[in-house]
Amino acid sequence: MGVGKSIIRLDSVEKVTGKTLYVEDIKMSNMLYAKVFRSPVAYGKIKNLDLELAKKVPGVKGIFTYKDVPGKNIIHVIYDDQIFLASDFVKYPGQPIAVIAANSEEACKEAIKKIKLEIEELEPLLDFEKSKNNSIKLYGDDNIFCKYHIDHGNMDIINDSDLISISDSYYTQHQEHAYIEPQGAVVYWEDNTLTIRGSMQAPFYVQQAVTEVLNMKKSRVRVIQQMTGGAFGGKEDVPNIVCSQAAICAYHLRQPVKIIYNREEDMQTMSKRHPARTDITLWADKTGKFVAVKGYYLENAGAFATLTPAVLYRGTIHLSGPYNIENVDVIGEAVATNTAPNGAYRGFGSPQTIFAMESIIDQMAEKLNMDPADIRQKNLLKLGDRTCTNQVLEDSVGLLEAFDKCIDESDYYNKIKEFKEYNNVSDNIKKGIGVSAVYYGVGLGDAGKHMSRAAGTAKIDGDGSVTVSVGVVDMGQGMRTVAAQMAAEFLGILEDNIVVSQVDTSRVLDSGPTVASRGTITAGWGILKALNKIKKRIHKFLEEKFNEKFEDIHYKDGKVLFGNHEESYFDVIKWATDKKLTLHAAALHIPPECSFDEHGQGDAYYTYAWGANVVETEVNTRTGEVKIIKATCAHDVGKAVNPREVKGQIMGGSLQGLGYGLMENMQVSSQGKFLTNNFSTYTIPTACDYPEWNPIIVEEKYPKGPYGAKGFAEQPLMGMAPALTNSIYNACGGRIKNIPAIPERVLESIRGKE
Amino acid sequence: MIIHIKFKVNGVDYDIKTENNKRLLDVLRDDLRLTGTKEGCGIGECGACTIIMDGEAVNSCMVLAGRANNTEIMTVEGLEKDGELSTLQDNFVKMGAVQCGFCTPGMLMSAKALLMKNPDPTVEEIKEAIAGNLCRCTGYTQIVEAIKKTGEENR
Repeated sequence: MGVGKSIIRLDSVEKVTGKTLYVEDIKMSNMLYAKVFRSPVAYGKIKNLDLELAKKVPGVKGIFTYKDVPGKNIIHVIYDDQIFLASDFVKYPGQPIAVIAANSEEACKEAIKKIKLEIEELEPLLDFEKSKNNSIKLYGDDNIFCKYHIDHGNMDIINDSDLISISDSYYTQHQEHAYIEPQGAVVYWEDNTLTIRGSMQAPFYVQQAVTEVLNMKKSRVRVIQQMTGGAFGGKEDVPNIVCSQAAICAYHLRQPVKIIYNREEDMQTMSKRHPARTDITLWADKTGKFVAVKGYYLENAGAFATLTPAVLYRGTIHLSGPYNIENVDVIGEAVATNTAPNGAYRGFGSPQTIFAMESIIDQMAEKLNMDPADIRQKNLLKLGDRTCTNQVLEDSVGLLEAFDKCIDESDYYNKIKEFKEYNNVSDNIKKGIGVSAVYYGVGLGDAGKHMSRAAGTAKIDGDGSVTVSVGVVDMGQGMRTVAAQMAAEFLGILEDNIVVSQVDTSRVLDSGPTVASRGTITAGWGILKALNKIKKRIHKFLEEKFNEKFEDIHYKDGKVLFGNHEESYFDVIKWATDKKLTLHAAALHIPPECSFDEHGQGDAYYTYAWGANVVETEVNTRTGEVKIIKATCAHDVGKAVNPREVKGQIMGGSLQGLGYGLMENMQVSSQGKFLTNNFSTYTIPTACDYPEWNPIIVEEKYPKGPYGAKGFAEQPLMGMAPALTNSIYNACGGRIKNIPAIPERVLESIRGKE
Repeated sequence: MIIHIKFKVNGVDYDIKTENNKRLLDVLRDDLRLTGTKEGCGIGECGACTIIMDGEAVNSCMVLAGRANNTEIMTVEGLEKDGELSTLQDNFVKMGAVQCGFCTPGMLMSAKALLMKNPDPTVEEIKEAIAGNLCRCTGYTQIVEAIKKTGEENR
């Protein structure tokens, strides 16, 4: 029991028996189904929308457009620019125009066919590199949604002629989350309250969005997070849209309404990782010490800003990597195009820039005739160093340990030699090994500081069993299990005494969204602070009961230890209950402040996770095919509350990163539609694609975190693409500057070398 | 059109009337309310709806209801014996093969179908058997190990 033990997940027995209820499993009497009528074009002006024939389709109960929106016709995220139901213009293929509710999905589909839309098609803006200041105006005068600048040190140093520099540009594609459970929600009225059960990461976002769309009192909108079948950022803000669609139907019709996206609709219209170009120049001295880096990061945000300002913030800050570089000049810009809005995806804007930096480091190493691991090792951030935002690293810097363990356990140096010898004699199969180092700013940082809070509740019943809640969700990552472990450790009892509530906005307190790898730390902060209030009351109660003063009271192995006393925890709770002691509490914890000034300087995040990856590949130089053989991934997580689940996050996240680097190839048509909108065209790694894993946990405790824990679960994805492409380079000499490393590109890169 | 289907699901005989354009997935989930079987894509690509039909793992979203007549079907709900987890389920739980859980029922059924034919499969045989079941959470190795261990326990 307790923290640091690999207890089995508390939800897994229900999941292996098929008893867990996801949104699609909910059926209610009188339940209607909703489907969305969407824009067929990337950019256009709506001339006329005729619903008359569609309304006559048998079974159709209502069709709702912008005219039926009682509140704001806006889906609130960061800027209020995202239209809920299009009224005049449509800006991306699949943009919602109307929602149909009917007593069957078939009737909805029939109605969609009968809707007559007259639209004046406009020339779309699809090439994000041409968006800035384009004559097609999608946002403001210049199409730039947002911009960040990090100006650290003094770039005049680059005039020093002794420095070696190297410049390049790197491209990354859309990435689809590919959660196996599609988006969905069920909305119904209960106790005069509009109740939403949905698959989501951020119930409090959904509550706010629906409140604004329907112009209701927030307390009359109740959002319950149903067990969520994977999210990875793809269910951060977009459930605002999905839930609002079902909600407007239920609001008007006063009947339960279910909406489940089909896979094609989901992939065609929901958010993705921002495609990007990163231009980068790195300067080093002759010993390989990094002296300066200049970067320009251009993100394709799609049609609306949604989460882009926060995504760009992270990508810009993470560009220069976990290295001690005194002079940094990075500009990040995000621009509009007529494609589906891009948003949060594990790593949140950073895998794009990390791919650039970790690639250019290898190019620099080659130029200096150094080993790629050696040059990194020389420049890694250490305790007391300053980041690119001039933040002093005061604690919990496990980077060197993670890096060294990763290099040692992967047997990196021997493999470098071994593969070189192998490749000298091998005909078309070449072996390679590549490395990357990453860091991850934990939590929302300055860009999301208004939402940075951890609010928990705790209640101990007379039998000693405990119910705790905190406003962060379990979406498959195991949050409720680790929350129970922390509560159990705190009270010195077994986890089977602890229930962690499902997040329900009517009874669980807003703790911000479950994003930014903040689940564990937020749960710990909120729940332990609430439990501690109860502990303080028990302390006072025991002093009064025994008429003694006790310095400390310890809770261990089902016992409460104080002074010379050793009592059963359950007896103590019973005594306290009999005396009507208040055994419930709520608490709000405010995480450490973050800052980011106009020069991009400040404490950008309250702490950082650190990691290193080594990837081994085999490249077939005749076909360009790449096989991933082994991945060694070391991550400093502060404290692994449940080591097995931490390893699960490392392997699962890393495979998403390898898929991003190798095969996940979202194709956009000349009309802005995604051509790869199912799992046979957009291929993700299968059981035949994963490598041999060696996940390594490093624990450099974060003193302000619960039991020393920080957050990290996005980090495993972030550095895998460059570790892979560096490995490909090591194998065959082909430098991939545009992921994914599909066989055609690998072959081109080899031929380019020749 | 209404059709008549007689089949056995998880050892229970059913004799039902349903619409002929339904998929077996809908019959199981809507008519029989066995919602353990999931729909992830509806076009036979993700494997979340995998069930066992006459000993073969099939995507139930790709099977028309009428095809189920006179067959014997097993779904995830049929894996427990007398309220106890099967060895396969228990190994999934203990070895961290479950995260979000949405692929889990289909994954279990592909594994079960393999183990029915091949009680002690190799890692390569396991990978091939679950290649049609996508999992986005785990990185797969825990799933493969759980199936491998179940096979070893069958020795």
